[in-house]
Amino acid sequence: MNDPVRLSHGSAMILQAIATGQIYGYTIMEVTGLPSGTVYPALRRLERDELIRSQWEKQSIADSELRPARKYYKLTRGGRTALDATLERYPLVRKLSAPSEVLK
Amino acid sequence: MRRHDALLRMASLAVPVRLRCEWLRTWQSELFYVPQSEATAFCLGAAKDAGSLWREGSGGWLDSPYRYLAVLSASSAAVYCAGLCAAKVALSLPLCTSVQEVKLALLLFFLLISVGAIIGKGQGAVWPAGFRDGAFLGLKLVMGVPIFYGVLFLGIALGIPVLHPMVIYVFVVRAIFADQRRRCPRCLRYLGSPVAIGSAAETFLHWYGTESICVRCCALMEMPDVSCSYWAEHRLLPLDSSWAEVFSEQAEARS
Repeated sequence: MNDPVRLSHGSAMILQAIATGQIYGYTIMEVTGLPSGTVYPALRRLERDELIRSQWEKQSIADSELRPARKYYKLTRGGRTALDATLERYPLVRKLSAPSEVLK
Repeated sequence: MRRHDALLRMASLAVPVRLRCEWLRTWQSELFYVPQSEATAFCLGAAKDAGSLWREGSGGWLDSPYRYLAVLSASSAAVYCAGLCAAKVALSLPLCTSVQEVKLALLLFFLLISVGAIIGKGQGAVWPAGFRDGAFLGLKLVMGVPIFYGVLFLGIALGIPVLHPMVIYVFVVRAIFADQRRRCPRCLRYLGSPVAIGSAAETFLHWYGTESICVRCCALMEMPDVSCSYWAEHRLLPLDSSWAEVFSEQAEARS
């Protein structure tokens, strides 16, 4: 039987932020309120554990909007399962803002 | 933003080469979205991240206590010499020669060592139980002091407030105690495979904390998360030869 993945509160917040549509690093920082020195190492660990997947956007899209290319993050199936299990442990994490509230 | 970009590039030097390009690209792309007022804090986070990657990458290299001492003494000497040269050039400071000045320097030296010990106590340091690990910790603390003097001289030469060397010294001492906690008290090599055992709810029933292994000594290191009356200190549990096979597998996995 597979043991459920046990996530820290910070990791749960980051996974929830990605699940609610905050798909690149800076918006995850804004939603969770965590500092950059916590968010980016956590994103790397979550990706190593295959709970999230990252992908660079096409350079042509970034060029057309006159900004650098973004690295987008997406939950994997394992990440979704881990998040569901973790939300039972940290129910308040569900209250993280939806994208529209942040990007206003 | 050019200053912050330079900060990111400097921090990237600490990142292992195979990860550096991707690491720098990620942080630079995010820096674009960070407001100017938050950019410095953002870059300090990047430096922290780079430092953790450096520690992960160099853990094996600094495993030898002799090599660690060599690196620390070389860094310490470099900072001290740089500070001394800067102060001599900028202010034409004479070398301290009078008995009074030597006494003052010695007093400050022992004061700094005491401050280091107090910082270690506040950080929940693992105190040495034997001569070997005690001497190792003592040498590291002694080697950390010239960094204070070096930064102090640099500060005087460049007109930076005197508080800064103390802040840097605190960071150095914290790093020294953190390194000590990661080492086996017997062979002074890094402990491996840390596993969290138990939970806080078991305080009255059983200990809880972290258990690591020392492959060389064939021993378990048990460190309680909270000191209890029945288990206040870390302890090393040497195992008999019947466990040797398990440890040799671990050694192979590490190498």
